[in-house]
Amino acid sequence: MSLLDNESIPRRQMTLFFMIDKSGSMDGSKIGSVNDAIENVLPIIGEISDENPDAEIRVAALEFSTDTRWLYDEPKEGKDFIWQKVTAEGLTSLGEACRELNKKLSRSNGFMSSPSGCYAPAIILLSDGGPTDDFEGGLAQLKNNKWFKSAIKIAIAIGDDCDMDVLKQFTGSLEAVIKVHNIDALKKMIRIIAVTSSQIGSKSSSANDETKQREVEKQITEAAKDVAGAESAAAPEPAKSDSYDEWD
Amino acid sequence: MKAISHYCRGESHLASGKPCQDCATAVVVDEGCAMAIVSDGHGGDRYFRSDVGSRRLVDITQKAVTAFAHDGGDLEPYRFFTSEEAKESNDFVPEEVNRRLRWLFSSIIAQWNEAISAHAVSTPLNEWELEHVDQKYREEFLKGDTLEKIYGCTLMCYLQTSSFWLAFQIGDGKLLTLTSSPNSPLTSPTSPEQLTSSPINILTFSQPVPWDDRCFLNKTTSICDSAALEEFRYCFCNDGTFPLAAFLGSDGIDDTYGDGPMLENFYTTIYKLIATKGELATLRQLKSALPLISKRGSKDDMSVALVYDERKLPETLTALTRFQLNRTIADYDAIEERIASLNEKIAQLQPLSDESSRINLQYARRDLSKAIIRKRRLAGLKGSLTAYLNRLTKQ
Repeated sequence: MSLLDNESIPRRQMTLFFMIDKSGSMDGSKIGSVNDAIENVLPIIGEISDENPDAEIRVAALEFSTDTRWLYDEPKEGKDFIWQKVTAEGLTSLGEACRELNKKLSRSNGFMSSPSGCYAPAIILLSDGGPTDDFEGGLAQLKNNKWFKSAIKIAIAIGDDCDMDVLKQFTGSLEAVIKVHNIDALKKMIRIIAVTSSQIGSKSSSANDETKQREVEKQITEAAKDVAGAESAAAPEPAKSDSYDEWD
Repeated sequence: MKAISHYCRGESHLASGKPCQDCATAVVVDEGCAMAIVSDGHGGDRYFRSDVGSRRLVDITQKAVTAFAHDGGDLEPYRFFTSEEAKESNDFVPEEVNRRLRWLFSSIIAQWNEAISAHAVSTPLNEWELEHVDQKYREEFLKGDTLEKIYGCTLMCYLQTSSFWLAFQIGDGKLLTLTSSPNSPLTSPTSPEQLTSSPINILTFSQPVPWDDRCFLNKTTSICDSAALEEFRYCFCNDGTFPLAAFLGSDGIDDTYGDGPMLENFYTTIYKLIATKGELATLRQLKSALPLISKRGSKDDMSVALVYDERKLPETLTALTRFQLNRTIADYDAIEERIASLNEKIAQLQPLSDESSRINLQYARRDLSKAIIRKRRLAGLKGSLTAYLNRLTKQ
């Protein structure tokens, strides 16, 4: 009988949430790039999880347009996550998506287990427009959720039509919003943000959740400087040109 | 009564060069009186002397609680109650107990504040602190207005005397008690049939101190909070019933095992080690295993302290093994059901009708493989627990 031979000691868990806007305006290259980028980053998240002695990273994905839908009814390990192509149509029910996320950020009938043995989740929101429903009501619910309060929150604003104020409200700061203007930048930033959030969010350190949020913001802002067509929403407005937004 | 404790530096602290910020002790005051205390110093940069804070807090609490041990047994209401119940109930206000407990807690807070102020005066910033601590926190220290933050830590304590028991806590970490059902007195089974004949466990693990929802992920209430006195939670019992054992663990332990069956299993193993190998061998195991558990688990500092009734070790050992066996049988039955339902799902999904069916089939097959592995492991565990229980019965 030994304290070490009872059961394997589980790793702590961190859940990475993707919230994907699949409204009609995302149709074409935008949704195609999102599908492509997330499908390609999942094995990388799986590798980060496998090589990370601190935590196991699980992935959950919520798509929203007129309605909302979780791709699976439980989070899955990155390497096991089979991506189902998302197709674009309908409106932008971001308020409803917030309500849905709020339901799953809980232990009872949600995706979270005991806070003991968990890291705060990371949430990545991708959107190209403005909400068409009661966003404020949905966000107000979500903002009372303790998991959400502790989470790393990053948003990707796809194109110039995005409501930056909405994304700022969701993440809590403009520094946590990255603007992308073309397919290549969108793909690269999804990858960078997913990887950075997973690495920092699943790291054992004395850093608190606020520090982790700042660290992710700092790293992705730096990374965006090297990606043509991407920038932090908090950065000074770049000089406009007719071809700045290139989606098709 | 007997009591043991051990604490160690966590893997992440070894890597960062930080000291162990946990402290724990377990003391047998006299034959009928023992206590266990755990304090966990905060890990953030601001709390750069929390290792000193936790050590001081454990010392102060030990003295204060020893003095309190001679008090309290002879007080109404002669029942079990918690701080929440005392706050909420209108018709039940155990004023005298509450008054004495508040006196105990405020005395601990006051003495701790005094101790850390004295330490700050006598111990100026050292070389390491000058080099590694952020300037704003060094300035905070030199200013001296909010010293308690720099030494901030949590506290957990269990005291058992011949007439009452008391558990209190401020901050995170988990305190579990092991009790036997009053309707099912502890007895050793006399025949193999009896080994698994009782579907209901006669032992229960519980967390008797009310939880504080403000302790969430890496946020915690603390002795350094301005409203610390209001943040103390407790339970008190002088109805003549006592736990078989109480287990205290800092959050490094529950961040490794969660706060459910795995944590209970960890403490079960410690208890069984004490019952079969003795206290010294158990302490040796704790000393060698805790750093490894920190490395594989939470990476945090680890503290364990427990108080147990050594007179009940033999019958509790048997009951605990039966408790484990019953739980394993329940898990085994559940996994068999899951395997049957996955097999059914796999059959229904074929032939494949669309992409979604293909994905669902892939997941079902993967889940089935995992379930079969788990079933094998549970079967092995069931066999070894049954054999062990048989040996105990024959002894």
